[in-house]
Amino acid sequence: MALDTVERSRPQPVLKYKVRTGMFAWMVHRLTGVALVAYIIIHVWGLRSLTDRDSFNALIASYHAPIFKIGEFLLLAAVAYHALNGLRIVLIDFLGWSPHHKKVFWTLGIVAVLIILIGGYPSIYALIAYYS
Amino acid sequence: MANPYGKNARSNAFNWFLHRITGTFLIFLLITHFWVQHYDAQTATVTAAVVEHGASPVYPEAAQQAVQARGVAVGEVTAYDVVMQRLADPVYAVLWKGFNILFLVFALHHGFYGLNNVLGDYIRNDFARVTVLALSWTLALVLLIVGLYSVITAGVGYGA
Repeated sequence: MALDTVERSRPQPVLKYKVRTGMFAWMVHRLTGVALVAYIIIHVWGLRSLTDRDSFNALIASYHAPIFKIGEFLLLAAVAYHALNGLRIVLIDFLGWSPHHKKVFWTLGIVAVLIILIGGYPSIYALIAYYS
Repeated sequence: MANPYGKNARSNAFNWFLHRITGTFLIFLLITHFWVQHYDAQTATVTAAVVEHGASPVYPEAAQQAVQARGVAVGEVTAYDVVMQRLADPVYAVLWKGFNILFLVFALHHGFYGLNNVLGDYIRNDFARVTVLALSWTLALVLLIVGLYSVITAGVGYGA
């Protein structure tokens, strides 16, 4: 590709993104997306134990270590953000909402924060109760 | 094809289209999954304040009664029994397994198509890119087979 050769001859800056609303949304969408793929690999692989009573109970018991309460919270946060920003992408692509993409970002952002705070409260509460 | 995307065989637009469809479905699948698996009082994995290394969750009375109402001879209700209420149920197991299989297929396609978009953007060397893409789809296929096996065989012979 011609473009490739032109670009390769110049030194590449590490990060040349101009971080504004849309770019910020896109970057976090990618980061949470890659994290969720890493999670689904572990999750599906772990569920092999679904075929055996003792190993399934051992797996669930291992998930009750305090560190997993933080993991649970971060997972919810990543899922909530990725789902709602994904909805924003669908609205932009299919319904032509791109003129409003910033407004949609902040509106769905507030919804995401509410979901994370309300849905994540039990995990954080359990953790605080354990250590106090 | 019923939709206008992906008519050119070399374009990846059909996958791009599917990515949005699977993503929209995943929102609803995830809400259901989180609810029945983590927030519902009977499963109580998030709401139960069990935090301890290697501790098993203690299920509320309602969950114990529901399991025992099935006529399953278990002394203590464990995490496995609670899941088996759905996956070994003579009526609902088919629906829940169908739900889980749809969830698995959509999540894997969505996740690995997205991952390959990211990888394809940053790996500049053609050979390396094709190799990494092939490896990641192979991993997705392995996870699909492993996941399908786990879901389909779960609960077979439960309570017998």
